[in-house]
Amino acid sequence: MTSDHISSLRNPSSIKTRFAHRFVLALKKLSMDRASSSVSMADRYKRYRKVRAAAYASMASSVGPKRAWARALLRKIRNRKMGSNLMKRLGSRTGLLKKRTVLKPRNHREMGSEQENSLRELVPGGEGMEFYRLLNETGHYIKCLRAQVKVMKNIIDLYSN
Amino acid sequence: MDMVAAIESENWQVNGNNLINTSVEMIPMNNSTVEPSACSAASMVDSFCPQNWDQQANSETLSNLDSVRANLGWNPNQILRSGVFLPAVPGMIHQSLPHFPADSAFIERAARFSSFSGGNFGEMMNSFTIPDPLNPYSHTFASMQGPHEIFRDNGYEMNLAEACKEASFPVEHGTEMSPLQNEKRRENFLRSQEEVKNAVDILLNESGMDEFNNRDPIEKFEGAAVESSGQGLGFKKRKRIAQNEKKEAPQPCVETEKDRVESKPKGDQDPASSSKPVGKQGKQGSQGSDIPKEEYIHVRARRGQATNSHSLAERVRREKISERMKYLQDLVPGCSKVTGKAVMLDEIINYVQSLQRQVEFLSMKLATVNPQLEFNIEAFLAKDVLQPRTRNSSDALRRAINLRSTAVSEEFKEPSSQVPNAWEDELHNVVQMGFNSSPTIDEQDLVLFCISSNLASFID
Repeated sequence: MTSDHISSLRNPSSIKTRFAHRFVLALKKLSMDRASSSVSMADRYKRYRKVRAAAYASMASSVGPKRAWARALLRKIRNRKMGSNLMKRLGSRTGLLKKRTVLKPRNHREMGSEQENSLRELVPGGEGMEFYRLLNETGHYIKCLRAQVKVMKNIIDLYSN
Repeated sequence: MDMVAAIESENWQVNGNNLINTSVEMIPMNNSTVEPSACSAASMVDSFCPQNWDQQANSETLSNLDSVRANLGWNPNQILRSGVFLPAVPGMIHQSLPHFPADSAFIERAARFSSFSGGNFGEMMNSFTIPDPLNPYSHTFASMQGPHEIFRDNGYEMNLAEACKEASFPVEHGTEMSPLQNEKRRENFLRSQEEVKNAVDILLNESGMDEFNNRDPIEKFEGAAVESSGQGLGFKKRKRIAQNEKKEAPQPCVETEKDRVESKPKGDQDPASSSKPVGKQGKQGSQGSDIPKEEYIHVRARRGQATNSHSLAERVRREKISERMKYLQDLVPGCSKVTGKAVMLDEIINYVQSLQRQVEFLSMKLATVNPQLEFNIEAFLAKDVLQPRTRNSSDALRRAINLRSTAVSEEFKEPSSQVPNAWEDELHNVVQMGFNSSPTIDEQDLVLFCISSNLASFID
């Protein structure tokens, strides 16, 4: 833990700092947009979804476009957001939400073992990769998830006390 | 053409031998005439040196072997190089330089002969200007995507022959070559040896080096080729770093050729320290070659194993994957004792799932906490969100709350006993933290709901 702290101090533009900044900004934006705290479960759930999306989006954007999983994650969030918007406004018209099907993942999925496939589902963007690349992305994804959890914990701690 | 310059600039990693670097400058100038004088080269060096320093760092780490051959730094990235051999002895530069303009036509013809190896060469040959004889190579290499070595030669004629022979390799280099492709290239190389033979003949005739036995090197070449293709024992996996990294078999003969040729114009050059940069490992280590970074994996069948190209490729792939798994093993806590790919994968999957659930839980927590408190960004950043706060007071509070809510937390402890992993405790800390902030009844329900759903699916 201390080493992480020291390394993050040493590197002001580390993933942790970038993510923390973006996430806090996103939360602030969310809290301002939000109406007065509603007690209903549905609203709370919606809020929770938004916060979670904000967390993933800020993490993915702070990672940058170099990582495939970050790009896929951002794409997913955008599609979901676009999809919900379209559903609200245009009703049935969902032509823009065509799923991005790639031929490649089909082959990889067929060849892969069961665990490999479940890993593909876990890691965003893992469908279209070879196994070796999937392992690479998984490693980086794990590191970023860990950092994300730490930062969020700290934010909550700061808030609750 | 910038590529060529960029390519050249990375060859500065001759171990602190700036003088050798100066010779490099000759080549990359796109259409400038080759300048024999080292002084003018030095000025060019300065212009190129500042570029691509990062590559220097990379290649410096690679130059493990002390090579008198003054191997130039190999670009680990995909930068192309023109082919020039660097003379091992700085003094040789001066001797070699005057050869350049004289042999331009000679070189051009040699370059043309190298087109046998691939279509690329042939296409490129026509567009090159004579004063820059080595540009053809750099051009073709620029068209390719793999990193290539730069040949440095103190014997310019020899360089051409070498380059011709090596031309077949770089033509087909890509950034990520599969071993299958490598095999094909090897075959191509063997096939092209016939043409190389012709090229060498012509080159040698033109250079008037009659003492050079035209037949000998070619025979050795063929013999070596046969040897390399037929030999199935004791090969080890080898990564090819630079363009002019030769096959194991032909290298000795090429070196002897080089030695003979070089000894003629250079005289007192030490053949052992010939400037041929070779990036070979293991067997060729005795020749003092550098170990530049590899641009593709050159695999050979191990002793007693199948030499089928498919199985070779499979083995390479398996080794890469096992290496990755080891790295992931370090990353995931509590997996040091686990062996086996399947179990390891299971652990990784579990870990990723638990991390994702933690994120979900925390975001849910934030969503509930949010409306109650004001978000003060400045205060946040001032407090340094990244730093885990000391929890002395919060621990006591948490323990007090835990006593009250043990009944609730019991059901969460249960799954943990079933899966006693190290990182399970982390999830529990998060759960307990939720209780720590003493949420309202509704929030507690929400928390429980989310947690139980997460854990339930986790246990499956």
